[in-house]
Amino acid sequence: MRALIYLTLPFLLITSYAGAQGVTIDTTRQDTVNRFVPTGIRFGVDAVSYVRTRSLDSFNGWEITGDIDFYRYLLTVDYGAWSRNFGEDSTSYQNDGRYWRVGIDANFLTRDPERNVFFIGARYGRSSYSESMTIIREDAYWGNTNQTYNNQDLTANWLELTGGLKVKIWKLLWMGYTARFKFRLNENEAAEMRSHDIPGYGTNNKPSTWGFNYYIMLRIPFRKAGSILPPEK
Amino acid sequence: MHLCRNKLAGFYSRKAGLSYLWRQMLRKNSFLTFLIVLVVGGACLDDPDCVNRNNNVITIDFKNRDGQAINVAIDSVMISGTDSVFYRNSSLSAMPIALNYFAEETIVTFDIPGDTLEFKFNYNTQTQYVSEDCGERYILSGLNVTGIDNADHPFDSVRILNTFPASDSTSKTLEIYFF
Repeated sequence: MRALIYLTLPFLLITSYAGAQGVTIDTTRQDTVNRFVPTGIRFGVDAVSYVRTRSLDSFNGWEITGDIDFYRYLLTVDYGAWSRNFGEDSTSYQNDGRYWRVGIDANFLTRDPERNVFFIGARYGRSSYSESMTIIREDAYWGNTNQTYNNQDLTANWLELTGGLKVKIWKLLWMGYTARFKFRLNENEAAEMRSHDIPGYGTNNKPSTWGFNYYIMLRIPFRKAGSILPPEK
Repeated sequence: MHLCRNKLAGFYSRKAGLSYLWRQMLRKNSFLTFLIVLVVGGACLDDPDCVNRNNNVITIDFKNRDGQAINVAIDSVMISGTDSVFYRNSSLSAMPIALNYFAEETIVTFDIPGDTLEFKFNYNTQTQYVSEDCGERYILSGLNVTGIDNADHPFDSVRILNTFPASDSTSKTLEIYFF
């Protein structure tokens, strides 16, 4: 949560500073500067996490997202948590953790007066989590085993290539999706138990994976703004 | 009629920007993608393969000092951690052996005519949950051979080709060079 505050605070300060400066700014440079002054902040919740939580016994999670525009670029921050709970018989696995992502998206709908967003971007993600596994196994060759493994206070990092849409539905209400291709940067290779699932990243069996979020959002405009670039003549 | 004309005027006045039609398509696209991903995404999640999920197999090749494969007569092979006896009265040039993944050491005892050879294999064992259907898997790494007890052994040297044991007998792990 502290990281989220650190990441968003500078941009809020820049926003308020630029807003204040807008009164005294040199009129010849105003258009150029105004382009990079944010026009609004958008925040929302992830519907996919909600649907998964309601429909899967093994998943419990939520995610919130927020973005702010600078010309055609969007600074995006996601924050969430999830826990998994698999199996009750011979092998059971549980994890619980929180994660955040931060990144930049480039909007390709530069001439849209409603500022709808079709974007491609990148994210850095970081997760802090704990996990445990219990194995009760009768093996034909190696006999019986009854082991419990615990990994506490783990962290994992990854990078994402993202793409998606954010569309104005009605007044302040927006909806949109983000598809993610994730590349794991590190994992807890030294531990006795290797992670099965990393909150925010997903299944850890492969060095890359994919993800999808569908967000329901509200956009609070700071100022009136048309399309990013003027309409084509 | 007047309202309709206003709408039409509004529609055509947006020609310079993104068209009204295009924005409607965006909205529909946004909903549609959500539904497609829910339906297709759920079905396309690739289930892991439950077969051969542990990499606890080493394959030992028997060679002479010139590096040529030779057949070695074997009375029996015993592996620590199990009571089973393997390769009874055999003559082999290569031999797959399973290591005990509940431990970090497996002692393999070869009974060959007139001699007994004991190899101590040390390795790191990690475990990882795979899925509800497959359970867990064991990952072995850092394979090393130590504690060869018999000083009068009939072999010249042992060479480790891969410190990661395999999940089947297709890849070579170890070579034993006989005099």
